Amino acid sequence: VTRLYRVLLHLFPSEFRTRYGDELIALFVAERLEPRHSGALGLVRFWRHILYDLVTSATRQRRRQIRRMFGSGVPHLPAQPKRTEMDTLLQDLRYAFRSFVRRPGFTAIAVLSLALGIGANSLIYGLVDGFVLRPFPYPDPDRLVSIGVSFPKISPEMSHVEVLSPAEYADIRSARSLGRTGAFDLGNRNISGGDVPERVFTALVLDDLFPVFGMNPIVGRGFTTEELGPKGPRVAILSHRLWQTRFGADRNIVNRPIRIGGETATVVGVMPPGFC
Amino acid sequence: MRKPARPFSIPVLHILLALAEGTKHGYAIKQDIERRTDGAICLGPGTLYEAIQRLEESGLIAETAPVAPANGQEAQRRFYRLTERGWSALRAEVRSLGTLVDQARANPRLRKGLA
Repeated sequence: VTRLYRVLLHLFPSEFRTRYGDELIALFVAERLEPRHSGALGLVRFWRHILYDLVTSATRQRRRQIRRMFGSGVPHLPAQPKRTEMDTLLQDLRYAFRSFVRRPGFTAIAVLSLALGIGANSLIYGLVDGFVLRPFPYPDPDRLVSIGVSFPKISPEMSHVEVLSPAEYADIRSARSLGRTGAFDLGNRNISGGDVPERVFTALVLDDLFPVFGMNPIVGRGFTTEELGPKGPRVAILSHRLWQTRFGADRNIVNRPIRIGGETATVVGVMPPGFC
Repeated sequence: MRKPARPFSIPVLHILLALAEGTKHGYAIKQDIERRTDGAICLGPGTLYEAIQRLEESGLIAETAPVAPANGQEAQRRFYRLTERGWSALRAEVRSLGTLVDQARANPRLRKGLA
């Protein structure tokens, strides 16, 4: 405990610490041993007294040090030194701090209210940001649902995973409450050909996703039933961003082959910006 | 190096009064003040030594050797005494406080409640 106090003494300017540090520690030890500071309540009272004393006197000492450093520490200041706005501000801060220390209950409630207020504010802003300022770019976003499986014991942070077996997906697809369904397997794949290979975020699509989202390619077309079948030809639809960055927004990209994950696929379309 | 503004603050006055009784180290000064004020003034280590620093710098008190041979731990403490300047400042202060109290007592309406 004494060691902790010794560390806390670094709040004081070194000049003061060198001169009176040992005395402060001796006083600290003597006070700690006083009968009124025994027991748990006494310990709390002791530390409150010590910390309040430490912070207020160290603040005064630091201010004094700063005044000396900036030249106003002349030996004899006028009896009423001119108060600057900074002095008033510091005085207000000290007064606020003292009031807080004096009324810990009030301080706790104030801090709690602030915390709740800030928390609620961020929550509301998050909702407004997500739903109003930046909603899903799809038409009728409120009619889209994502379906996954809950594993209550998977981890404390995550229990819902969007992973389905083909049989589960077949059940979902036959559900009458869903207008259209689509499934996809997200992952990073390499695109090669061209100057440098690139690792991009891709989705392997099962069923035609685009009508589900209510969006259609701006260049070319979507997938055909044949292409979506298990033995259909390998085709790809590019995101707007990839089309612009890697293929120079070339409208003749349609029907050109590209290499994805070591396999060749024919580009059949490009999605509008904001699709993903 | 700043001269403590007169009139002295109450804790400073108490420190001077404690030293007027004799040479003391910091903890003894603190105990003396607590006894004198019935625990109403309880100076923390920082506040006490800040006041001591100011009083030392303004020449009102000075560090001194312990009068009585102190035991092991006490011998390492810093002891303080009033300087001549300290004595005269304290006397002036007590005199002016005395005048103040006399004036206050002279007021019959105020005197009623004073024993």
